[in-house]
Amino acid sequence: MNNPVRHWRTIKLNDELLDVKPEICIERARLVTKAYQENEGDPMVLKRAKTISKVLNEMTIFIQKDQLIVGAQASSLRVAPLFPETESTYLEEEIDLFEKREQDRLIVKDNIKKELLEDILPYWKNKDTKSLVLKALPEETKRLVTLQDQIFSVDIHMTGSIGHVIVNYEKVLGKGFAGLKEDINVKLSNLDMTQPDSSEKYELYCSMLIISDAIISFAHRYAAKARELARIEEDERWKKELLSIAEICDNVPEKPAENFREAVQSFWFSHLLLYIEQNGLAVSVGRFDQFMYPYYKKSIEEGSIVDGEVQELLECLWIKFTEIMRAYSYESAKYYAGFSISENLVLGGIDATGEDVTNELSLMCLEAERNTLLPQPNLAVRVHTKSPKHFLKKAVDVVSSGRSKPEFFNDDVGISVLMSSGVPLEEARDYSISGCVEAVPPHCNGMTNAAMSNIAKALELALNDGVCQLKEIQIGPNTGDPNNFNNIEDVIKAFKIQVEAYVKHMVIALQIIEKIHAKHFPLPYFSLVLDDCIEVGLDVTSGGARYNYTGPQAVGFADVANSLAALKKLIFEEKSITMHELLDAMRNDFNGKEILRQQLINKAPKWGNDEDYVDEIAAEVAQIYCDTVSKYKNTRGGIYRPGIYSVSGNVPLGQHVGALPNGKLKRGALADGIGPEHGTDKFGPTAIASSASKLNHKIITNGTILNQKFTPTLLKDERGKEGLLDLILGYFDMGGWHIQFNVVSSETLRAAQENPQEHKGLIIRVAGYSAFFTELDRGVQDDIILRTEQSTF
Amino acid sequence: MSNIEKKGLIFNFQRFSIHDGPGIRTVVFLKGCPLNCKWCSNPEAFLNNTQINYSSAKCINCNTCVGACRVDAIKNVNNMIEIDWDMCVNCLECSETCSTQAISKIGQFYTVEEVIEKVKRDAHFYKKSHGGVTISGGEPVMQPEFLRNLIPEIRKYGFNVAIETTGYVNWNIFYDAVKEADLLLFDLKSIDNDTHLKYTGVENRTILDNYKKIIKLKDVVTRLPLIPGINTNEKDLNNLANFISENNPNGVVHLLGYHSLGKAKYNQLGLIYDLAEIKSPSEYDMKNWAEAFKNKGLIVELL
Repeated sequence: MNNPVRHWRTIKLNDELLDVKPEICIERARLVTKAYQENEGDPMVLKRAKTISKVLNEMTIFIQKDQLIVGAQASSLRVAPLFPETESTYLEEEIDLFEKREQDRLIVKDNIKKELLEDILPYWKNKDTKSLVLKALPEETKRLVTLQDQIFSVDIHMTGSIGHVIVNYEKVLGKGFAGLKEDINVKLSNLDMTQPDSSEKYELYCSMLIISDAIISFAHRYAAKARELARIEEDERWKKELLSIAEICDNVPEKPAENFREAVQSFWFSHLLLYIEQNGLAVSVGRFDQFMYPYYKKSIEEGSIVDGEVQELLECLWIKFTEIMRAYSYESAKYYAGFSISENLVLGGIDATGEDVTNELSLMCLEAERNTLLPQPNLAVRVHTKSPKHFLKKAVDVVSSGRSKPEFFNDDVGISVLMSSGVPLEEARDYSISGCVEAVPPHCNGMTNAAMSNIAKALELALNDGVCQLKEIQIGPNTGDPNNFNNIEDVIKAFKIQVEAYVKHMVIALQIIEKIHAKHFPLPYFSLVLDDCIEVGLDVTSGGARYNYTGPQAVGFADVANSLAALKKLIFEEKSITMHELLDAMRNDFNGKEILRQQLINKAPKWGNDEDYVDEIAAEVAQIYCDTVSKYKNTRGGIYRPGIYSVSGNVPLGQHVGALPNGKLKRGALADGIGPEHGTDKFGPTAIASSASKLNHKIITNGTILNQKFTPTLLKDERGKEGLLDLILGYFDMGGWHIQFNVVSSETLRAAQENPQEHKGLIIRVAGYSAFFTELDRGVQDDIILRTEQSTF
Repeated sequence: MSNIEKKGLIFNFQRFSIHDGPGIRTVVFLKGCPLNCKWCSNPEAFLNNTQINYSSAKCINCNTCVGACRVDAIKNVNNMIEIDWDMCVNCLECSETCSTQAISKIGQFYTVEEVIEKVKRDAHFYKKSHGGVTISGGEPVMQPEFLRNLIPEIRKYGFNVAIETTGYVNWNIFYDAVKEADLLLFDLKSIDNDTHLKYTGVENRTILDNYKKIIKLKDVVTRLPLIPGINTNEKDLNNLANFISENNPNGVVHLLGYHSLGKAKYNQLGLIYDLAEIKSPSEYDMKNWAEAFKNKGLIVELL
């Protein structure tokens, strides 16, 4: 079990992918620019459809030898396509930075640089999302969005598309695009063009038809390519496989998939296209073991495939997931470190009637995870009271082998969260994970990672009458001189006002971003494959989906809780430090005040130790953020959902915060997710889990992340694995939502920092997703090493 | 004094222990031990009183402790704190003033209720894993009254209770203290009396006698620390395997390979680690040694 024999094909493809040095590919940018120029006068949605169509018809295609699944997002293996329509501002500003930056380095060849600067980017000047958003923002909101030391970051959707979606693959595989075209044609023929909103519907339906034809011919291009290669191929095995690929691409995704092989290829084309249409990240897979199962069962029963071949195909697919690349802006790359795509694939869980649905494919997907050594897909296991023990044990076994995936989710919490916002029970039970940890029902346009916001900065402002300690400028409202605060309630009141003030501007920015997307960047392909958009004739960016969320995250959670606990205990209760003394020390970054700083660190209770004193404060902090965010409605007829997690944003956001009463130094990293501050948790994982379970996870509707790091030695024996599983089950029993593990020693991580070449395959869970450790910047690497490592028991 | 007697002196609560009995457990470490094993990884358990621990890595050289010390046992020499351990009277005042916890207090008195309050915290995890509480040390039976009161109180909550013991206590006191526990983790350091005396400071006769008696009365897991070159020669291992299998046929044996993780603690307590440089045994060695016990029909687990 622990030393599986990996398939030669998996090893070869895995190694070939790891050997690629990430580069920028210019083809998409070139084709998109031409298409926009050719279709200048068209309505936007049609222009977008024709653009995607041109990309699919004209981009270079290739077939990697021995890879059984075809279809790539760019002209060669693991290169990043460009999306000038949303990215042109930073592409121009950062073109020379891509190769030099610390995070997510990309090679940009000289001729590409020249073509971009001379031929492509000038066309997009002032037309990309960021330019349009900045023009549209009210003055005060714009000031906060563009602050150097930000309190919130909406960069992800200002420089990119929506992402964070899970479409209806079941329908796509079942009908094929020919079938979807029929549905659209029926809608078109029934469309009453005398109605006031009919022209938008007409345009959308026409766009969907254009894209359906484009994806069908895209597959046919691969069929032709495979036959062309087969003609000259001398290796009989590969020749035969090429001909099989050709036959499959003749059929899907045009027609319904007839067997497992066709279903896998059809899935991949329809999934890939979401990544070609938009540069949003976390285009997730959903319940793969469920929608693929009928094809698996049929093919096994009719004998057209055996389990070994299914496993081989799954591993080919696993490798394809990591081919997806993005050229993020440097700012975004810091927040979503490691070329994070976070294509979440969910296993296990229950069906609409509440019965467990774990099947053979669920287990084979775990095996594929064990046998591939890559960051994607982001693998999630749904856990409920009837989850089969052998499935959970296998999941834990895969984690223990040092894989850092899968992550675990509590069905009880996910289902309650969705039902509380009006999703019916049956659909709530069919939830998946979008991106990192966000529960979404089917038929949903999640936008679940809308922004990262800095509650630690809000506390800094509350202790400085709204003035930023770093730049001495007013950022938040005047909440009074803290020297006049009489008790911790006064501090919390000021903190709440600061949170409400910045959240208001964050929401204003997000509403405008959503509107700009709807107007300038409709997504006809995404609308085609997501339910309800065809039915209501509305693009997904305008609210065509059944469920629409906007989910901004809070970062710096433990820092705020610990700071408030230190203020309460040492200033207001014990009075061993005065407010004046503390404020003075913080302004000077604790220079010459190390004893005072150590008192703050060591003489006050800390989050993550199962101490009610601070855990109750933490629960109140969560409540304040969640109440503030939850009251807003988005532009697509949906709700705002608060999350408490940081991905890798705790490092860059920490750089925007001054010294805090928890002893954090100026510009130091913040704590990650809902985890404890580095080095402050003294009682191990059950104490951390107990603290975390005191939050009401059902109000944190966009999710929480709880990271735990274990050394491999702890998990080498059965006791260790059993302990890990019981830890997960105990945490979920107590109401926790999500937990994940890094199983790697700090020695290994330090060695990887020193010799990145020798550790290029080392995967680390940064937060809700995994990445290659050596592709992270030094700050994030250090942060991961410092996360308390549980090893001594 | 009577007040103190009702309380137990404890130096650590370790949650999520998964190698000290079944399931997820909290280990409660009681302070004080009649043995003085040279390889001991918990030297802070030797004394049955509160004491200080000094960790220079945490020290910021603020000299607060120098001023706090009543007997001038702490000095700053060339920007380094030096403690004259012989002069220290364990008044603990330095530890109370230290802001960084470079000087920390080892040991605290707890009532039974206070211990229950602590161990109850992981009730969910015990339930999930069929785990519970392990009371270790030092030698927990050095505080027999406290132990006797504590065990039934913990069991009231349905938590499994294990006692880890050296067995070096008068039989009547020993049995009376542990009789209500679910399980004993009984340490045997060496079957050879000379080796035992040399490396633990005491002879092994009481221990072996108590072992023979308790085995008939309670569930016992036998735990053997294996210190390469000291208690791992073939003859001793075979004798030990014989002794165990004769008294406890088909019993469970835990083999604990030596590690030097406790070494750094000695210096922090003003003690000297006088065991020569020893390497942790390899997995190969451990498996090899395990054979001696497996051959006698014992069930062996390597920890």
